[in-house]
Amino acid sequence: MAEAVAENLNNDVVSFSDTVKKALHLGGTLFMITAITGVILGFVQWGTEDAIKRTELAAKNEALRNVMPDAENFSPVELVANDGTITEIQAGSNNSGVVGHCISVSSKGYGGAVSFVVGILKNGTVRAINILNHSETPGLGAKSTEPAFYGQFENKNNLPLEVVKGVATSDNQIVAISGATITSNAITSGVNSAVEYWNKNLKGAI
Amino acid sequence: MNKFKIITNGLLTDNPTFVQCIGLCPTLAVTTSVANGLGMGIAATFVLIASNAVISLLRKIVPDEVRIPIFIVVIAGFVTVIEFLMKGFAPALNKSLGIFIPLIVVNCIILARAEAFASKNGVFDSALDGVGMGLGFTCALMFLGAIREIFGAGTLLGNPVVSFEPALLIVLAPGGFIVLGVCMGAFRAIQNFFASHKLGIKAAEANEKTEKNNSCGGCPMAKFCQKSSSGEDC
Amino acid sequence: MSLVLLFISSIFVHNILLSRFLGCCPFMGVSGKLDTAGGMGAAVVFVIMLASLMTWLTYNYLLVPLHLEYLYTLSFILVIAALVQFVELALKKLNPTLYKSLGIFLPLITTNCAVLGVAVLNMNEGYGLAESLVNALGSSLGFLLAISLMAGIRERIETNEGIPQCLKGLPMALITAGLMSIAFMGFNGIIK
Repeated sequence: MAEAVAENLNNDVVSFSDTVKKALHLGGTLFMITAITGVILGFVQWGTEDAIKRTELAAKNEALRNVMPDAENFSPVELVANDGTITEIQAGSNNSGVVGHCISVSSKGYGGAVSFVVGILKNGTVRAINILNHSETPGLGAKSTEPAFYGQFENKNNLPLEVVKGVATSDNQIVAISGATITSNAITSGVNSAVEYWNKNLKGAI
Repeated sequence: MNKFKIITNGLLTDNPTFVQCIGLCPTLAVTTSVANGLGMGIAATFVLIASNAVISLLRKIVPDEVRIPIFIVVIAGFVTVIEFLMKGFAPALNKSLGIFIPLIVVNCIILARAEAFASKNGVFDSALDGVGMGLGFTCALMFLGAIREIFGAGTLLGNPVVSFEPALLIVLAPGGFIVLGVCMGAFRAIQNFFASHKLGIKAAEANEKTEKNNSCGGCPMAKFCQKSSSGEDC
Repeated sequence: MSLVLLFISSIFVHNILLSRFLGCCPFMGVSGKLDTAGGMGAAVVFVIMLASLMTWLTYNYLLVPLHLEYLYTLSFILVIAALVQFVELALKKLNPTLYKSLGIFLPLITTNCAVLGVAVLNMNEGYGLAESLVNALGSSLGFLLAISLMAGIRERIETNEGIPQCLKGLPMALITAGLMSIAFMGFNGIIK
């Protein structure tokens, strides 16, 4: 196709006005079809926007409930400037007041950013974590979304946490996923940053 | 053409993965599990059917010189639609297929069918061709996904099935290449066996024939590949 | 992440062919001979660099201000197709010698998923202009490296008579790619 257009443009035998007509016809058809596709996509986007938002919201709410099971309502808390690791904070509360904070963290993993939510109770215990998005290797880093790994973070109060290979010998140790030390480190250091942030900015607030 | 034959054509005789050897990138990347293979297969099938039908409708008004950009625009439109649908209704699948959803646009299977079939046949036949090719692609992806999941992770559809220690390598990038290579070799060996029995020719000749038919013959860009490989000026 | 680290990891650790699986069709189709593979690789480096620049500009200065981010697939592929077309015409006029060596690969590149893949990756990772270009350069050099190595190996495989009939050609090339991919896994240790 490239050659055809080029040849038409270069060919001196074809008169100038014919060339222009041809180019307009080709360009016009392509433009029309692109424009129609664009408009149709606009409608589809408008039609699916609500469903996409609802799905994203549902995923987020589920994550919040997973890391803070005792809370019934969540309300956003203003974010203090940090190095970009902490992206969002929600305070979880029930009838008896605030029970803890859900801190959204984005940490650099092996394949890209790993984002997850850490639930910290008001006594400073890490309640649980929930992985939201990651682009880690299937079979290695992607195992961080299995309970065998993220379950290790439940009810930890001996902080900061550290990553070990093999078997954990102390309460503040997290066993790395074999073959995926970078992912394990990324998540653990993200949890530590969340705890640090909590100690600095949220501890006294409750 | 016989309607039934159009479908079996895609499933067996012209299977996009094992016979035509096109669309390798998603085949290698998403077959880490059966579920991923199925998801990718369904997404590609949807785009195939829809773009085949629309391109067949447009075939009379599309000028020959700009047909490929127009095909690509139509395909990109449907890929965006499937992306919206997956984001809204299958977020987990959308996450695990990741970048390979937008890349369905450049999946050569879809462009190859647009060029080889839909731009020459009626709407209904083109849609059927999309169904057949899509099914062939989906089956190949699920088959590879099953092998890699069983031997690499020891599970099938997430349920543990084997008693031996799985070889993690099979799920990782090298495993994708090796499993596809071995499966393709096995598929050819079977083809050769039948061809030599049916036609009464020697296995070596049969292999020569299949090798000629295989090796990206179905790819719309094959003629450029061959020209550039032989150093010819085009 | 520093740009140097990004550059090195996009060549070796996240090699576009052997680890991300982008651009496998030319990797298998054009890797028969070393010199054609080199030509293809060079053309890919050139187009990926230009395409990353253009798609970055399109996304950040056209789609984002207009709130049309969802049209990225459509606009990226159009930008790439137009760009390849334009490069082909320009090269033919301005530098016929270069056109003779690279021109034949250009039509192949529009549908090379490596080009669209790098553009989409840059967008997904939220890279700035400098990071995008470094990632594009690293990824495309990784492509050049992998396809040249592959062609070198395949030239020797051709003369091997011991390979079973049914594995000759593409299946053997795929298995070779698998072994190369294992070798490239050794670079994983580069990033901490």
